Amino acid sequence: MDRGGPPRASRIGLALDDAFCDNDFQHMRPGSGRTQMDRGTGWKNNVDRPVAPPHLTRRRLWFVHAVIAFVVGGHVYDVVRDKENWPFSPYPMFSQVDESRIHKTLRIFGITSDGETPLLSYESLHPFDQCRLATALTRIRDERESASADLREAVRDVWARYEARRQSGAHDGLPLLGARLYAVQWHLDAYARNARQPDERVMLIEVRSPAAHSARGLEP
Amino acid sequence: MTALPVAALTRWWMHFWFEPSAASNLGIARLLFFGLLLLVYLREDFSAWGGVSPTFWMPLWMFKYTGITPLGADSLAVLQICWKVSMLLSAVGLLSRVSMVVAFVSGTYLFALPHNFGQTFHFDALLVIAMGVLALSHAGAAWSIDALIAARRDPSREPPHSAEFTWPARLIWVAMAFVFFGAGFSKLRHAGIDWVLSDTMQTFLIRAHYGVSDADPFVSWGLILSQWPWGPRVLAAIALGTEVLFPLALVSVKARRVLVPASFCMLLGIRALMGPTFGGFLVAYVFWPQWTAVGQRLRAWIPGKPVPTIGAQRIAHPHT
Repeated sequence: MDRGGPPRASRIGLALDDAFCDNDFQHMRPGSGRTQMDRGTGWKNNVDRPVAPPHLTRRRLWFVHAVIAFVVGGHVYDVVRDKENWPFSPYPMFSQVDESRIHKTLRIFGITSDGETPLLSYESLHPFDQCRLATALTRIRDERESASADLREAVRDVWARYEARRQSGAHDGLPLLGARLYAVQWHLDAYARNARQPDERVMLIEVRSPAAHSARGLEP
Repeated sequence: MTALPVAALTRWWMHFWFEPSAASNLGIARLLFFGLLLLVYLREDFSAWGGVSPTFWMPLWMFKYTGITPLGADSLAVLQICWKVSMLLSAVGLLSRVSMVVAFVSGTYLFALPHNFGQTFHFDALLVIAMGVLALSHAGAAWSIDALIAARRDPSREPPHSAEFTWPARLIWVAMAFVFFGAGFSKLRHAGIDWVLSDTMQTFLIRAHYGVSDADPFVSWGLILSQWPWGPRVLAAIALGTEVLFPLALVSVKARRVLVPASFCMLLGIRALMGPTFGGFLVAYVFWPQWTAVGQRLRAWIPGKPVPTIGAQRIAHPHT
């Protein structure tokens, strides 16, 4: 339906104008039948314009400035110092040059009646996900003197929760007789054809159910 | 420039933060923010963190220095119900001030808790800041049950234009600008322009398919893109440019029209090609559009409806 206005593409452009401009300073452009923001947060528009009264009490104005200072200051501090103070952060993720074609990580495999299965899905690792769990295990291994005992406890904890959730029906994974922690390594393939099968893996920890421990003579 | 820099800067500062505006825009943003956040986290169960072995405990500074410890699973279950109810109340605007404060306090604890177990994710930090800002604002003054109740008591009562409805959204804009600028600046600090010119992006695109993120990529197009001679570098340049330039969206309307949608699409692209989820981060974009203008524009498109004059109810201003 022709409503005598601008063509459809222009209308979308105008909608974007409206959406990202400042409503309170829009006005009808004479004769165009369109709205167009002419002022707003832009530097040029605001430096010469008198300041409208903000309708805040002096106390409230100071309080709001304190809030602004806290949020801005927290971010500036973390960005400048390159330190993490959640919820502020320098946001360093993916910031390094990384051209390595080798990928190493730690991964937990469940021991089934006829082999092993990697525990990767959110359902099987809940409330962890594969990223947080691998990072946590790596930090335990690299940063603690009691790494061996702590890793064993960590793997046992993941396995116990997996089984508890399986038995409660939260997921339909295979029953596990135990769990193993491996250091795994891939040579990256351009099309990730080997993603399911690490090129190398070294077992670091194994935990099993009490029955299996006694049967195999492993420590509990 | 016709004024001294300090005076001009002061004027710009006051305009940016404290330009009086209508209550509707912040009210709609509040409704959308808490409503969408509730939808995103409705099925999220934080209570399981209460049962995780203490061997995983690697506390954030706020937990370490305050001695706050994880609540038990039952307590967490109660707390997350309180949080979700408070988000619902905040969205519909019932007991707005109290419900937004409860949403902020309980939400901060629940969002922070998982980060004490080995890795700090960044997608929810902005949400905590946004909830905190809203808790200190008058965002419930419009598009809320509270406003309906107040209007029933006094039909002539309408919240006047005020800076109270401007600074909260602006502060959330600024916080989001820090997120993107911080990410870009980190890349320049740690890698420099090599982050674009090296094979880094190609490596990221391939490695994403080896189960390195909190979720797997939606599609395998990243692998195809990674094999184009300049594909990954162009992608890296666009990403870095969007991040570093994002603060321009605060001061330039033209930049805002490009950078805000571009950053939104970039996050969707990262999710699709590389895997990382952003939780409710995308919800924070509801503070960018001027919803009252969008609503009036949409109404203008409906056949038979009179085209409203946007800004007709604006306050008297010497230069408008």
